[in-house]
Amino acid sequence: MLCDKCKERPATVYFVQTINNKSVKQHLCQECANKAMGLQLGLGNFSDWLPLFASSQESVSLQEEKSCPLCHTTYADFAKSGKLGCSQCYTTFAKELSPLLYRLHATTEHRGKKPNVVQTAKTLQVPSQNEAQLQTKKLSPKEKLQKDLAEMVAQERYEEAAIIRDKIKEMEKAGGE
Amino acid sequence: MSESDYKESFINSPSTKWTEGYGKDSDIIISSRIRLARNLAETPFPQNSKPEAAKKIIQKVDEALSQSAKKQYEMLYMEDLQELERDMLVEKHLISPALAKKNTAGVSIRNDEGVAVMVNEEDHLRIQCFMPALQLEEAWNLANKVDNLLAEKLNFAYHEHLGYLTACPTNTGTGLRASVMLHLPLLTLSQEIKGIFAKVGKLGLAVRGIYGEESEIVGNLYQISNQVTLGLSEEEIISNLSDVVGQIIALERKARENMEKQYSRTIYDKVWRSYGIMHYAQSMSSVEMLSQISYLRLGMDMGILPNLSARFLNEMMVLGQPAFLQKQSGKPLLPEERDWERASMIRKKMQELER
Repeated sequence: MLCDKCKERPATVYFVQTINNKSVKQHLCQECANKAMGLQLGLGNFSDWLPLFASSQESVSLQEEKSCPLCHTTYADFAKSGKLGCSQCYTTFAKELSPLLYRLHATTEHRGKKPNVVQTAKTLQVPSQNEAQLQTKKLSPKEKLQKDLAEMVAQERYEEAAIIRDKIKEMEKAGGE
Repeated sequence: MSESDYKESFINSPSTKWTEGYGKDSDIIISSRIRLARNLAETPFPQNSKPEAAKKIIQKVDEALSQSAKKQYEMLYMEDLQELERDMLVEKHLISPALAKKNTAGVSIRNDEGVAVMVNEEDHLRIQCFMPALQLEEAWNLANKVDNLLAEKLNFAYHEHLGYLTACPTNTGTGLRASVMLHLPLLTLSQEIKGIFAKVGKLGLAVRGIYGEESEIVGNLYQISNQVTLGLSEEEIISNLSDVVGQIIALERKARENMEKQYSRTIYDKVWRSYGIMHYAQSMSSVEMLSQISYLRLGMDMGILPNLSARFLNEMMVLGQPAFLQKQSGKPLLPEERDWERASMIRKKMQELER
């Protein structure tokens, strides 16, 4: 499929923009998607995250002051460069990164290789709340929603995905897991 | 070979592991590559590291590799290389364009050029393994071994649930990018390729040109790689990619067979015309070179040009790149001058075939 905008390059990004409660859906190429977002990230894959970027921006305004204790990167820095400052950032911004990782990989649970010597306890003390957020072993109501979300994303049903995502957010706000 | 000889050959020789040209499905697959992204725990990622700290990391990696694998690896510091030399490493695919731009980066290359560990690119380490033809599993086994070797000496950033932690969340988890370079002239000609790639995209795979992330498709060459790095095991990622690649190979072969049945004279004509142009052209752009090589490759694979080898064509592809041409001629060249130099290089190479 060709890009809806330039009609020159192949469309690789499904772009949903909500303006005044009307959602505009477009199939765009990387370049036009970047332009549409006014982003100059220089990061090829960043626009893959666009459907969730709106919610990331919300977090930016709330989290502006929070910075990583090891490398002093803020979430705003990350949103700008697309790169985290150090491995500790994954703990510092666990809450913000979780939906992003979900969007990218449809899961937040590593199933691949483990290093022979795991030093996670020393290097990463994840707060228990975040730890629970990342766990997907027992299917709680929230985890079930997350699973549904992954399915919707996989099927490119982004509107439904957004509704489920909001439900998960509400659940998180209410403090229930 | 002595240390300096290896260094000399890493930079100057157009021949490298992936250009060897033999192996499974070598009529369609040019090369396979596995990359593992790794970072040191409790250390700011390269983007945030100071020059002295960056240098220490290169030294650490160098030590780890030279202790574990005696004299098999040679570390090149970018600050010691001229811009042209760095570009030649990029043209051989041993380093990324991003690494070539960083003075605080390095690359440790194994003597046979089957392994190149980039240091201080986007992540502290990028372990890359290259193989000719379709050898993803072999490349993964090798990368896994190198990773284990390094992990004995270095403490990698790893999270129980998220896996290996990387500067960009697109690589988190396995840190694995598996990719293959495919030559698909007939699927391109019939435009079937568009439909195929639309499907490939939905399977979490990406299609690119041969010179990395933003590059355009030239010479009917495509690079297909996995996008998802988290939630799947390395073996699953590789087998998913292999399955899709296997299907594309079958489609390209089928298209070649049909073409041969229906339009064999047209193909013969096209292939021999390319052969003639490569023998006599006086000026040739890089894009034209790649498309002429594509016809020669097709002619070779269909048995029309039995005196050609994949290795010959792969090396010609590298020799025709800007940095290699300038090194060869011993001076900087304007794009137009390069086209003359390129045609001259090609004519010489083609004459070798007549001997």
